[in-house]
Amino acid sequence: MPKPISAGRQSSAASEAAIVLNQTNYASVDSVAVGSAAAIRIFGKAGPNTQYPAVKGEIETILPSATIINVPLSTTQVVGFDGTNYQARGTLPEQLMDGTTPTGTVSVVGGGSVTLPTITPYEVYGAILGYNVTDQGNGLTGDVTIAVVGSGTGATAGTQVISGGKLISVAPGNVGSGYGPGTTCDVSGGTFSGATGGGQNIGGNGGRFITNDGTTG
Amino acid sequence: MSWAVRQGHEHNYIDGRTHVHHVHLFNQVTGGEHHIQLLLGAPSCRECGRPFAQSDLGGLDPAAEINAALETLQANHAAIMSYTAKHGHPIKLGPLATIVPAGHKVTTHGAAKMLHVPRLSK
Repeated sequence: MPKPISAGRQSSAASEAAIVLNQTNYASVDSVAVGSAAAIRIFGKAGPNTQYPAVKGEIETILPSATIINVPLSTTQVVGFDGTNYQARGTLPEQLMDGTTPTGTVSVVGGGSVTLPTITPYEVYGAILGYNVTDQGNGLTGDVTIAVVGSGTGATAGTQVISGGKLISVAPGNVGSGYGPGTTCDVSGGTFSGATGGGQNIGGNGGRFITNDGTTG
Repeated sequence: MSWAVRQGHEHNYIDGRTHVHHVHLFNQVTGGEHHIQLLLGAPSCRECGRPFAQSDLGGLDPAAEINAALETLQANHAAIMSYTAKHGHPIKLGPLATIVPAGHKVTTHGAAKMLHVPRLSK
């Protein structure tokens, strides 16, 4: 009775660029900033929340879509499916153990720290008629929260213009009343929240690993 | 609801070693699957990367995350069913499909199971 011969396992060293793996998948992996963290999404060609086929040898399986929530910003994550759950790890070799399907690599957005801008309110006869941006800040990915602090009430800031991570201008909102000299603005927030568009794939191929070419992500 | 959390502790649990909350959702009609994984903690300084202790996870609400995902998945499911009913094509089912809605029919073709949705009258 002939016995099968083990062909051995592929070592992690074989994960150098352009290696031909006998597996691939058709997942997209991206990240979306949500408040002070991010969510990684794994999905198929029809968009988020749709599944995708993964191929090992001649066997094709349909793997679950997923959302990984509360991922630290400014990190690179390599995602794999271990047969039960997704795992987000730091490097590709960590996803090459037997039974795990490497899914894709994604850079989690954030771009480093946020330096909040400083804003001085323009007060005339107790009303806040405008806002002077005295320091534009840096790294902003969303509107800042502006609180007018002083003796008056009712003043709110209006539309903000943010470009290149900097606060360009703040329009006045409700002017309020009763403010006096020494009125200041407290600034907080400044990070992008909700909605798509905060993340990007790296390594090409929509963030997925692919066989038989030199662009393995 | 066609989409639901899979029954059993192995489908909605926190791994105490990795600090990950795993939630497995599935579609009872089509067998679709979607996973939610909440990373509990692992904060670090955004300036230097040095990790620090996590003392409060109050900002994370797993029920809200699950409900939001179920709402989206359910809406997508309804759209697929309407599309199928309108155009008359069957739906290939995954192995987790357990419910055949009233008036629907499942047929077997080799290893594949197909759900036939009642055609909308024109």
